[in-house]
Amino acid sequence: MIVFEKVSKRYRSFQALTEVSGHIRRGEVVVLCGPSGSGKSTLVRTVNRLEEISSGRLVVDGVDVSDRRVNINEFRRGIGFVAQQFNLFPHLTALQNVSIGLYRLLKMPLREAEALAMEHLSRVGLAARAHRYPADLSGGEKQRVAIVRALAMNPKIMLLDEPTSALDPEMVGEVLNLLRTLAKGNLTILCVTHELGFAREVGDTVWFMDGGRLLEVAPPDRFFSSPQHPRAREFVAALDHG
Amino acid sequence: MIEILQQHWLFLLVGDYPKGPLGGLAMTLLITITSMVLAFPCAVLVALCRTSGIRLFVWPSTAFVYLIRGTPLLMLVFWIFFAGPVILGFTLSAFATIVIAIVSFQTAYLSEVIRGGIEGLPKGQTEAARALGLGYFVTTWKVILPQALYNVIPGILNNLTAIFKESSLAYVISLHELTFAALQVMNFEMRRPFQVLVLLAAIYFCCCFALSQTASWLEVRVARKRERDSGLIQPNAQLAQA
Ligand SMILES: Nc1ncnc2c1ncn2[C@@H]1O[C@H](COP(=O)(O)OP(=O)(O)O)[C@@H](O)[C@H]1O
Ligand SMILES: [Mg+2]
Repeated sequence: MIVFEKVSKRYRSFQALTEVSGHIRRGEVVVLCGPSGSGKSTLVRTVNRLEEISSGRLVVDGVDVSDRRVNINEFRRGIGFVAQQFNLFPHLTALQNVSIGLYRLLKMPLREAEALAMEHLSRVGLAARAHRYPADLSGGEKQRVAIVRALAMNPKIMLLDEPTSALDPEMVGEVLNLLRTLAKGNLTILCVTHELGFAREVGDTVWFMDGGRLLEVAPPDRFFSSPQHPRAREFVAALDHG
Repeated sequence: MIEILQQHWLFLLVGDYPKGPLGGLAMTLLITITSMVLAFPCAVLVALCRTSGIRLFVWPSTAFVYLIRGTPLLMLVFWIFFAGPVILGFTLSAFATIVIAIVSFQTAYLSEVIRGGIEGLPKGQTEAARALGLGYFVTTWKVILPQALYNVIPGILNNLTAIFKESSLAYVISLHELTFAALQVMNFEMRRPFQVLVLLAAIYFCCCFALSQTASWLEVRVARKRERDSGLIQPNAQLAQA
């Protein structure tokens, strides 16, 4: 579903990704972890071309991401993206945040789009919050709206960049619960997270990155109990103590 | 002074209207409003060009802004007044001249204010919109501009104040506006020139003061809303306030 072939990314003089190769199968849930600054966000953002890759090849659902001929907006519609900071549109209500894509992109009539958006929100228990603005939602609610906004477009792939890192501890659970249900479906998921329990439970594979390189790919149990790469060992040891 | 006002208030307000041409404060307001209504969309367009990241648009718009900002408005008025007819092949009315001059001038300044509003938005806003699959125009129109323009309403009002004052330059091309009317009153009231000038200053001051007070009041409101949107205040505290 997603194939990285020696993907590199540099910002001027800084090498953010170095020859990352790996593939993610359809329906696979990949948990991406690694120390801060290791290039996790950059890697995730190359998948929907929020970051252009400098060299290598990246094929997503049969489409070469760097190909100038692909209709980028249509391509992105099939890939949900959820960031740490939610990035809800503050001037729109929760409902409008979800319906804007349906209305503008899937060209549904406004009523239908809002009805469908409401259905999506209800499914995650946010029906009562539908007409609130993001400023009047808790962090957990905002992130659930952001996830629903992405899901509403019916994507095949979900990219999540530390979806729970900006949340107060008591709100992490509600978002992880939602992500658990997602993981059970047939979505392909690439999720950056440091939630160990979550990674073990829903992850099919752990990708460990450091210094812009993909250093280890392993099933969660093996990765967290006996990491192979020295850097991975340090990382897991630090997690266990923290 | 009261006497002068009692005697000439109608002339200062509307000039010779309805027997003759419209003048006085009414004309000043007409110039101000016409200029603002025209300058605003132009400024949005220039601001969008400057933030587009596309050289073909960035360069001319940037050159325009720098050129205008390095020119006194009075010179612009003279240029349009004397060179305009030569270039266009027909004479411009004094009203058209001053409006074109102010619109060009304020487009440059206002576009900088609006550009500030656009660049001041969190990067995540554009990113979230583009990641959803929204194109440039929908993103700009539905996500970026509503927020950016709202945030710079105070700045826009300040520019309106500036236009109001700048319209007095129309005097030099004999357009019957407030300053022109006051100076005619002065000719009439030969023995009391000072009082007329005080009166003129007082009228300008009152109008500008009202505008700038409105601007500062809005500034507080906008700042408060932005704080809420960026989540610096807890939602529950806001609800209690509301
Ligand atoms: N736009 C950019 N320009 C220059 N350097 C960047 C940019 N974005 C990220 N980086 C650098 O790339 C490295 C990897 O960043 P990131 O992918 O955000 O790491 P992570 O998500 O693992 O913490 C960091 O050192 C960061 O400073
Ligand atoms: Mg990151």
